[in-house]
Amino acid sequence: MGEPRDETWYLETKKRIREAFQLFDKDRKGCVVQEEVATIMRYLGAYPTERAVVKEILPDMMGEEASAFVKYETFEPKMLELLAGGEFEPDSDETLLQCFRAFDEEGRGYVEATKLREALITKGTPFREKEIEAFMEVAKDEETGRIYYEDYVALLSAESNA
Amino acid sequence: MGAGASAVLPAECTKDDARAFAGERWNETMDQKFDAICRDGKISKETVLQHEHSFGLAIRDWRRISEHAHQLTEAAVKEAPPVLEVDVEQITGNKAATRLQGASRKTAAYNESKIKVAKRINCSLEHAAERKQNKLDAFMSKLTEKMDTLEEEKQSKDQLLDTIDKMRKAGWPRNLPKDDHPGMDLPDPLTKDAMCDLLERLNEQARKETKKKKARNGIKDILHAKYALQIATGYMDVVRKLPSVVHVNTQQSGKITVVGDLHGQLRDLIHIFRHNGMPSFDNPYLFNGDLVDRGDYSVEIVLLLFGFAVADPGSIYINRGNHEDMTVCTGYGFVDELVNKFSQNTAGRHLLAIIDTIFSLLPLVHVIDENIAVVHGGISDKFDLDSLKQINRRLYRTLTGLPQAITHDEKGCDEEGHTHKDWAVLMDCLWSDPAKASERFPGDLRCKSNDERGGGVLWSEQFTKEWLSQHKLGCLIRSHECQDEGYKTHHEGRVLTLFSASNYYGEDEENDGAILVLSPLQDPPGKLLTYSTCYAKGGYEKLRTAELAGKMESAALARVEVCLLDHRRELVAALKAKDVNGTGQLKKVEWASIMNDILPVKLPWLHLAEKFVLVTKKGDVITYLPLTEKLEAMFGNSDESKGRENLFRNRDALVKLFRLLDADQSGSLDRAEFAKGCEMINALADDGEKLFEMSDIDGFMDALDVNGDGAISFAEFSDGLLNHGSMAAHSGAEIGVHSPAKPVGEPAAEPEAAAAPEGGGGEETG
Repeated sequence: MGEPRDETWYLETKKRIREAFQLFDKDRKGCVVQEEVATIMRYLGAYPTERAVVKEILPDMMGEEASAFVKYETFEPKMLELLAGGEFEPDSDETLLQCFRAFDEEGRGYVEATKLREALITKGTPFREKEIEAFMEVAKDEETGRIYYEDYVALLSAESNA
Repeated sequence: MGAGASAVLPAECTKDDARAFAGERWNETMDQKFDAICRDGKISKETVLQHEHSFGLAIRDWRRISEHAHQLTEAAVKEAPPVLEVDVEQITGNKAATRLQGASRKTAAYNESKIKVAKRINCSLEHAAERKQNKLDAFMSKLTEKMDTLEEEKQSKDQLLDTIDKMRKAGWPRNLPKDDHPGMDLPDPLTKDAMCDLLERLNEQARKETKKKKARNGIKDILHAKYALQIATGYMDVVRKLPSVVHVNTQQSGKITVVGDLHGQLRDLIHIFRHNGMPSFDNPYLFNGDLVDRGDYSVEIVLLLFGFAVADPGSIYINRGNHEDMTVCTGYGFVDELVNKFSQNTAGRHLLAIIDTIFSLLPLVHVIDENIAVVHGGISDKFDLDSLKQINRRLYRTLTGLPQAITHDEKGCDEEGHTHKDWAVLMDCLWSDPAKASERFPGDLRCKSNDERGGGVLWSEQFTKEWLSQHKLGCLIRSHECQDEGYKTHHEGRVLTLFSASNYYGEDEENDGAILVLSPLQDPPGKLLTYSTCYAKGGYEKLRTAELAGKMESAALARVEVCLLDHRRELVAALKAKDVNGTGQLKKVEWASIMNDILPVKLPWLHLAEKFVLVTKKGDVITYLPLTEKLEAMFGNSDESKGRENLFRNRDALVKLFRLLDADQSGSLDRAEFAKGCEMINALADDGEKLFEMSDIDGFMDALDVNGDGAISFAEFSDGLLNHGSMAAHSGAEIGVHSPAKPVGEPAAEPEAAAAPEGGGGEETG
């Protein structure tokens, strides 16, 4: 986000990609198993959906070959392209706060957990049981049953920068 | 779908309306809930809708719910205050939901990737250390062989152990077929990582089963019986060497944590490890008996503790409790549990027999720093610690299942060697309770029979004083009785009861659990920690993924730091060479490639940069001074510091050697252990030339035993090795060492043998 895409950026980003890739290239053969691709991408700060990985990204990385592995030669350019485009960057804190405010009609600074629960399991790309539980575990204040969303957003951003 | 899914709700609903609306989903909980919130037998339509979930409507009436949610969000969007920022698009309910879901999913994905990367870091560090570790292990196993042959001459074994030993020589139990059992595999020899993995899986399983009120299968599908046997036989080897009274000292670890009764409550054990650190040589635990019975996860607890004790010697000590007795276990659940979880085959029966043997071999008393005695039940006027050591405890597989001829006749004895006298002593150790101040003792009696228990004694405050002063001990820790706060002091504070199973009698009868972290040689000398755990109320310990990711990352980083220390001289030199102008700064990319060149592991240095060096705001330049300063501060830069640094590099090898020699795992080498070590090394010498003159062992021992307490602590041991050069010059001849550098130098000569695992202390405390 807002990073300059100059030559230094490309140079360093390439190296970052190589480092992350090598972590998962167990036999040092220049390839990783398909399943690890999404993990490497997330570690590098790109968060595509599983669907996008399978439908769009993997095919580009695999080329014609049918194989369980992805080679570095094809991984790097695609990854570089995605990072440069910033396509799968996470939303900014401000955007997230806006989203919460959409449910906080009176501007009280919190949303009732029951209410948000309803929305999140029915709207958008509905949360599965496990996902809503994980979300509530982090977001909900046990005592009041409320979600103080400023806290939640701050926590998310602190964790992803840790 | 509920039959009443299409029923229309009036504005004010009666119970019948609500029931019609819910249809098949109506149940008793909802009925009660209705009664609790209704007014004049009615509740509003809104309330019914609102409580649809809390009413426990498990089957989702999709259309209704989505309609309801839609109304809610629509209303929310309409009434939302105008958004101030203009450049952000107006976010509707649906979009907002998508975004929030995305953010939550991304965080989950990020944490997951962080965990995976931490695992990969650990893995690649281990690979780098592996080759050298293998060499070390080969040497150690040679030593162990020698030790075992020396051992065999003396030991008389009973039949089961004999049979099992023979089977083991043929590869049992590892050679048992696993068939289609879905469980995990364990490495041979056992590793701590594998045990940690097992612990996580068991916790997850137990949590699920308890929450969903399922059958308690625990370990059943997680670990095949062959591995349970591997753990149990491994621990049997440990425990058969231990005396009845084990002396532990905390000089090396600085502390030891005492844990009271757990009674099969796995959640308490997990809670303790999470908050007080995983067991290790530096963070040892003493479990004061009653690990099993009553709770649902006794099998899991014993296998976990035995496994850690095998994988990491010196990390776990266990006292026998009155429930470590198969006759008791038959009545209170452990035997049933074991049969349910491993049953049906010969492997299961072997496991029962081996655990039975282990129970009978468990020590009865641990004495910490010659200062604090720890025993499950208590003390009595029938024994002192010296007489306790004389009893052949392995004869007493069961105390409660012996014939009346032994238990009721004061002169009773049988041909197997049981005597009433010995039996009564063991009963008193495991079954006694301290008397209340109000308790009257007739005449000058100190102890009287414990009628309430039907075993052991009640002993008086006066007797506590006498017993402690007779043994020159400061206080006594025992368990055996549940306490509301998890602990209780008796007899003017000289006796402490410690009980670690929280909410022991079920969730309505709440009691805390307590553990005691002891550091008798330090100030403060310890602390009591209390807690309360419960799976059903969500009070169980499950780390949030983010917390887990953080912990795992810092553990991995701690390992990386040890690796840095091993290579600090080359590293500092290389950094300074690249930094020709001496600014203390380098390009981030340059720094990363130096780290890659010098260190034997490939790590994502660009990602990890900010954990080790200062990254400038712009992000492409780093200041490496914090790193070099830290590395130099560790050992100083002088040539004298080299020896200490070498010692640090070889810490693993030293710790291993020391543990091997420390047969009773007391944390120090006594004369016998030390002499045996020298004998072993003599036996290993290729040319048949003896490295140690056995007649002069005393002289050598005195030279190492700096504080003159008659035992060699780890600090004395490693200092002795550090100074071995000068010792050979000054006193080598006198103490009869032909070449003191060689035996100890052998494992130590490999400069990087110590590369990874031990230093990862952060793993436990995170």
